[in-house]
Amino acid sequence: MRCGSLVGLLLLGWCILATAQTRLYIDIDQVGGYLLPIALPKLLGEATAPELGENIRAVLRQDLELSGLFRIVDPATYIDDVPQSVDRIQYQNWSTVGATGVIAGRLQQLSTDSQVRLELALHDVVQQRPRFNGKEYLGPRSRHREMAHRFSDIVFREFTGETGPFNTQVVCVTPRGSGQRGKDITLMDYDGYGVQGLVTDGALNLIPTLSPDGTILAYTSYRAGSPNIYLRNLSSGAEERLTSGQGLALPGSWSPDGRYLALSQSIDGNSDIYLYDTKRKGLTRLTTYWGIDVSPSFAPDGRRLVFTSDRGGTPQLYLTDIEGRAAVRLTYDGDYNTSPVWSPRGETIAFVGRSAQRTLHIYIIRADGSRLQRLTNGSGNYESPTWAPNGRFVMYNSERGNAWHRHLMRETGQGERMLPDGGSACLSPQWIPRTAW
Amino acid sequence: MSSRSLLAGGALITLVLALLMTGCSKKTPVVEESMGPQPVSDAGESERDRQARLQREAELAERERRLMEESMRRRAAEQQRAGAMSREDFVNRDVLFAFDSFVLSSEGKTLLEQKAAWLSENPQVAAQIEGHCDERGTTAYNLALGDRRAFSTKQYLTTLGVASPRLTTISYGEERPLDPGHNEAAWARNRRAHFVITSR
Repeated sequence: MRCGSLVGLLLLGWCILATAQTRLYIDIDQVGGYLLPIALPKLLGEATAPELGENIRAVLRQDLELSGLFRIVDPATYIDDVPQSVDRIQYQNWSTVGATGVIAGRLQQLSTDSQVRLELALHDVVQQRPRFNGKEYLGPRSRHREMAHRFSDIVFREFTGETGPFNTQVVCVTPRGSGQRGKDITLMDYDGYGVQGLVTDGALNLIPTLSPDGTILAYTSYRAGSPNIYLRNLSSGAEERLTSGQGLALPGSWSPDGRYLALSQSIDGNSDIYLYDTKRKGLTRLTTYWGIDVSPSFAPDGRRLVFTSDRGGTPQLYLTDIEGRAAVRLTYDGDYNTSPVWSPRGETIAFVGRSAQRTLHIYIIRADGSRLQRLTNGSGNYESPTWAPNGRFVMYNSERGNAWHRHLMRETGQGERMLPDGGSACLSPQWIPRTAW
Repeated sequence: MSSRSLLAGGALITLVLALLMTGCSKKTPVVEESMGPQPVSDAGESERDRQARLQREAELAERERRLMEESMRRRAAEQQRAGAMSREDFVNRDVLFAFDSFVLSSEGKTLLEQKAAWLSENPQVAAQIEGHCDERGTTAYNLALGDRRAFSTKQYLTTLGVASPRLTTISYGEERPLDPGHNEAAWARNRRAHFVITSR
């Protein structure tokens, strides 16, 4: 707005740049271990619904801390327990306790149908002005976590310039309780809350892959004997079996436009990569090698694919495209490189590799074969990488003491955080924007 | 395998019998000849020849005896093995694999020969071969690896004469470990091709 009075495109350009520089505090690629201090005082009106207010603040706190970019200033040090209002705070008092930003809010329980009104604002203590002027959420009390996630995304965007990763979900494989051999396909918030069953027929169900618009779930089920791919429309509930026969069929990934599903299918032990065209309802074979070709993942350009093949004697990553051009080998380090997932942001591919210590770790590599980097460093095994929809974080499973957890970290390998265990295990996660259906 | 083994065993016995018979028919004329046309003139050297001949004959007989014994022993071992493989053994004895491998070991092949023999004796049986992996490795790749293990196993059985339609395959990857442990011993048991009888 301050630029509005300026004349000349050149000056305007300079102004945008200067504004960007002064407004953003975190360069997500360069931040290192620095954590931006944010104050999160009690909400106005919280006394009327103390539990709900605390829960909302807990979600905000969790999101910002899980990002590995922020820390919440210890509330015990706050001079003001509660800000005077949502849009007016005493900047000096927050500067004194070392906060760069303050989240101020007001919570109001409406008498009707357990509806709540939540108003949140972000204040910039450095510039001593509101940074994001009040966002109002109105909805059922049961959706308060989603409201908080939405505002966490705003805070993330305000300080980094990037779309936030918090109002998102994961599609998971969830083992059934002890004694049951089946596995369910579930959907939950990225932080493990709000679990919904998607496929819960008691059969062994694996490798869920949701289409970009969030409606078509591709997965492999053993329910009819052999492991075949099924497509379930989550909004209509309609389901079709995509493959048939004795072999092994596994979904890989959807093209960014949602038209094609890249998958693998085997006949007589020979697994190859195929494209299923949802418009023409037909399969096109992309690879013809006699051994194992599995786990295709689409590049964001919708043309290139990376997949795993044992054609070189050990499992390695290879590149091909939707025309099925001759595969080019991408990885040469190590004797076990599998499960590639192409970043939605461009040229980076995350995958699972076996280290010199014979444990599985998460690695990244550029599509031109450069900048191979191991991201995980702990003991134990790390598997099933999936990119945040914004391409700035990788989530994965880690094995600690024979139990599987979920972690996330930035693509730089920094800021590793363990996600809460919402009571429902999430294996083979696929990280997606919040579904709308 | 069983029918093949039996055939092979039978052929070997026939061969040995044939050798024995050939030996006899050869020996008899030689003796007759040496004793017939030149019985006296060669008498001086005949003792030496006779010694050499007897030795040769003894050696031949010994070799034949050894061949015969060997054949019988093999046949007996085969019969014993075929007989020893019970239905329970057929189901419970798994073919094991090395890490990240679908290649059959010599032990695996021997076991499959016994399973083939059992299948041959139980022609009404159809079986499903399950390919399994240990927990190390990724879900999708292990499923593909288990698929190849099951197929390698089926392929060897069909080369041994088991009709392909009697055998189906399925991969469970790392989804159905036999041993829930997290150590080398457990992993070794879990990298397996397991047989399930689907019809009898």
